[in-house]
Amino acid sequence: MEKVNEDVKLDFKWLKQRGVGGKNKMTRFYESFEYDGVEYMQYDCVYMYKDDSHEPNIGKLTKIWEHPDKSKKVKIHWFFRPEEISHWLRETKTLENEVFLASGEGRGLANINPLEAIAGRCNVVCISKDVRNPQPSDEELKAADFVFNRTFDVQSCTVLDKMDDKVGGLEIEYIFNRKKGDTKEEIPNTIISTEAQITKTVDPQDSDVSSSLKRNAESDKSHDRPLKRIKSNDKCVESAVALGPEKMTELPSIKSKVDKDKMQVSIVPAEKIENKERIKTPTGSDKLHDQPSKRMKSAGKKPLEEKSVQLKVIQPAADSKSKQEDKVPADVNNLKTTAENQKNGSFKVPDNKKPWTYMNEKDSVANSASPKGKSKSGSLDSPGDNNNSMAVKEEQSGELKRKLSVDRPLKASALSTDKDKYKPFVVTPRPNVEKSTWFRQAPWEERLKEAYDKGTAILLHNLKPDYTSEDVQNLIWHAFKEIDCSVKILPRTAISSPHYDQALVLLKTKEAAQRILTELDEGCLMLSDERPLVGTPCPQISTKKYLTFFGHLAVDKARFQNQREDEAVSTSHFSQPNTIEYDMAMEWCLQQLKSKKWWAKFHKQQGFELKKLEKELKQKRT
Amino acid sequence: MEPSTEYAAFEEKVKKTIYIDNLSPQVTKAVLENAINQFGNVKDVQFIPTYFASRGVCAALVEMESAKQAEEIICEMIDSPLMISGMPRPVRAQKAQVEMFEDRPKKHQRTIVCRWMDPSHQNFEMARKIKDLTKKHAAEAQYIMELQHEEEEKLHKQQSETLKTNYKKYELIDGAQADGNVNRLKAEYGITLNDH
Repeated sequence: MEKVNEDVKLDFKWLKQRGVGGKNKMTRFYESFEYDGVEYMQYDCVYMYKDDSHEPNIGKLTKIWEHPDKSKKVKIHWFFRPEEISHWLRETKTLENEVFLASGEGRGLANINPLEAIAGRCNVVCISKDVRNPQPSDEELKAADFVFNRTFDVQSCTVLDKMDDKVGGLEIEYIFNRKKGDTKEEIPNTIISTEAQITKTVDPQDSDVSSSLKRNAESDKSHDRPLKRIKSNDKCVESAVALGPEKMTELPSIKSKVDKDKMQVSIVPAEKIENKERIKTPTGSDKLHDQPSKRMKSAGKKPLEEKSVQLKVIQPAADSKSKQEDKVPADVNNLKTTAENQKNGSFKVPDNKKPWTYMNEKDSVANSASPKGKSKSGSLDSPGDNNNSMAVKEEQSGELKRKLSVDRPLKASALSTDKDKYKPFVVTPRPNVEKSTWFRQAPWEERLKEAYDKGTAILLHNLKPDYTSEDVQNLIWHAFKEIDCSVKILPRTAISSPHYDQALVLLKTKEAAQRILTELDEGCLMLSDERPLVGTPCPQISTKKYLTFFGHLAVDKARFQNQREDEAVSTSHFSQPNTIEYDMAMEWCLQQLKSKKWWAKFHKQQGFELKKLEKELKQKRT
Repeated sequence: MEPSTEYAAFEEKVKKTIYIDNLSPQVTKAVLENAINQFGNVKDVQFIPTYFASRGVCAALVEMESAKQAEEIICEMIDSPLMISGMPRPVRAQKAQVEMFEDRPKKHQRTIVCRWMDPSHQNFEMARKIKDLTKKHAAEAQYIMELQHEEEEKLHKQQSETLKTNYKKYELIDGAQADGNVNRLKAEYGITLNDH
C-alpha cells in the first residue's frame, strides 16, 4: 500500500482506472480506489467530513481523479438530510432515515472535494417506485443507512418526486440502485456478496468462510448508524439477559455460531441470508486496531468478545412476521447463552420459512448448547410443538415458575381453566344505567375534586385507545360489579404517551375504589389478551391558580409599556424579528423543540420496552 | 369493518382541528378564538382539561372551517412565533389527532372481551411484568414532566433577568436625556448628537 501524504496516515491505493483526460492527458480518472481499508467505487455513496458538526454530509461519488501534481479529487453529488431543508419541507413527512438527492443546477448540487475528506462509505438505497429502479429487498432496506426516493431541486427549493433521465447532470441509472447480478457492485456493503457465497454452501468450508469474512472485516467500515444499532442492542442485550434465557421470543432462525477454539464460523443458511447486524470483531482485527473503526470493538462489551470471537447475526429475510430490531437482542442473547455453554459446533438446520419451525430451530440450538446435550433434536420434527420448547426453557432457566406442559392450542388452554372466574367475559352494556342518579349532579370537575378528597377516584392505565367512556363503565361493571361509577377517558396531549391510554374513574365509595385497586394489583385483568389493566389511586388534582406557567414576562416600571401590556393580555400578535421579544421567543421555540424531541425519544423508548414484553406474552400464547 | 358514519364525520372534524399547546392558563376561549380568527374562521374551541398538577401543559383544540385552513395556520405558526396573552413564550401548534378528543364516537361496533388471568397460568408473570412496566412508565413520564418544568423555569428566570437589565439600560438612557445630563455632556465634550 502506498502512503500518499505524510500527514495523512491512512492507506490509499488506486484500483481501477477509467481513463485519462485534462490538460496534456495527465489527469487520470478512476473508477475505484481503496482508502483506509475501504473500497470505494464510482457512484458509491459516502460520508463527507463536515468541520463543525457531528453529522457528516452524505454524497455520491460521481467522479474520481488525480491531478498531475498527485492531488486527488472527487466530485460529490449531494444528498440532503431532512433537517437541512426543513424550511421547505414543512409538514411533509419523511422517513426516519430518508434523504433527498439534489437536483437542478447551481449551488448545492455538487462540489469538488479532496479525496481525503471522505469519512466513510454509506449505504443509501433508492426506494423509488420508478420502474427503472431495481426494487430493494427487505433486508437491503434494513441494512441501508439511508433511503431516498425524492429529490430536492436546489434552484426552486422544492421537493420533487419524479426523476427524469438525468438528475442534476447524473444519469438516472447511477441514481437508482444498481442492477442485481453485479456481485461486487450490488450494494456497497460487500457483505452481501459474501452471503452469496455462503448461500451456495450448506456446510461451509473453513477457508471459504473465514476468508470471505476477512474481506468483510476489511471492507466494512463502522458507521454511525450501525454503531447506534449496536449500542442500542447492547442495552437490549443487558435487559434481555436480565429477563432470562427464556426470552427467546423472536424468531431469528438463522444464526451463526463461532467455535471459539477454531475460529470457525458455522453458518446456518436460509434462502436469503443477509447480514443485518454488524456486530463483529473480525478475525483480521489487528488491521483495524489503529483505525477509527475500532469503535466496532465497543460492540464487544458483551462477554462474548473477550476472545475476539466473530459473530454474525443473520436474520431471515423470509420471516417477515416480526421485523423489529428487538429481534436481534434475543438473537445475540441466545448466542451469548449458547456460547457460554461452550457447546459450539457446526450444525445444520434445514431451511424453512414457517415461524414455529424457526422456534424449533432456535430450540435446537439452545438444546444442543445446553449442558444436557443434543437430546432434544427431535423437536425439529414437529412444527408448532411448544411442549419441547417449554421444557427446554424450563431446564435452562430454573427460575421459571410456569407450568411445564402447555396444552395445545394455548388459546384453548388459557380459556379452559377450572375456575369460572378465569373465563373470558364479554363486556356488554351494564344494566340500570339510567337509574343511577349520582352522576347527574355536579359538573365533572367538581365531582372529580370531591372524589379525590374522599378517596374514591382511581386512575386506570393501559386501556386500548379506541375504548370510550361507556366501554370502560361497562367493563367495570362486569369485572368488579360496580354500577355507580363515572368514567372519563383522558385525552391525549402532545406529551402524553401514545402507548398508554388512561381514564379517570369516580366511584361511589372509598371501599369500592380500594377493592378495585387491590384486585387489579393482585390479579391480572387482561384486556383482549394483550394488556393487563392497571389501576392507581388518583394523583393530585390541581386547581387553575396553582398551575405554573413560565414564559410570560412583564415589566412593571416601564411607562410606555403599560398601555401595550393591557392590550397584550387580551390580544395576540406575531413577534417581529427585530425586537428583543423575538429573540426571547426564539429561545422558547428552541426549548419547545427540545422538549418535543425528548418526549418523542422517551416515548419511543417506552414503546420499545412495552412491545418487547407484549411480544413475549403473545409468543407464549401461540 | 366499515367505521360508522358518526366516526367518519368525527374524523373529518379532526382533520380540521388544530392542537395548540404552550398556552397560558389565563387564556380564555374568547381570547383564543380572537387570536386565531385573524387567520381563518374558527368554528369551535375546546380546551383539553388538565386535571392533575403534574400533567403540565395547557392545550386546546381549535376547529377551523376547513382542513386546508388548519394546515396553513399551522405552517404560519411554525414559521413565526405567535404570542397569545403575553410574551415572549409562543404557542405551539400541530395537527390534531383522534385521541386528543375527549369524547369520541366508536369506530366500529365491536365487543370487548376480557378475562381475569389464572395466577397459575404461565403468562401470569408476564402480565404482571407488563403491569409493573406500565406503572414504571407512568412514573417516568411524571418525572420527565417535572424536569421539563424545571427547564422552563430556568429559561423564564434567565429571560426575566435579561429583560430587567435591558430595561434598566433604556431607562438610564432615557433618564439621562430627560434631565438634561446628556445635553450638558454634549456641550462639554463638543460632540453633536442626533435627536430622533
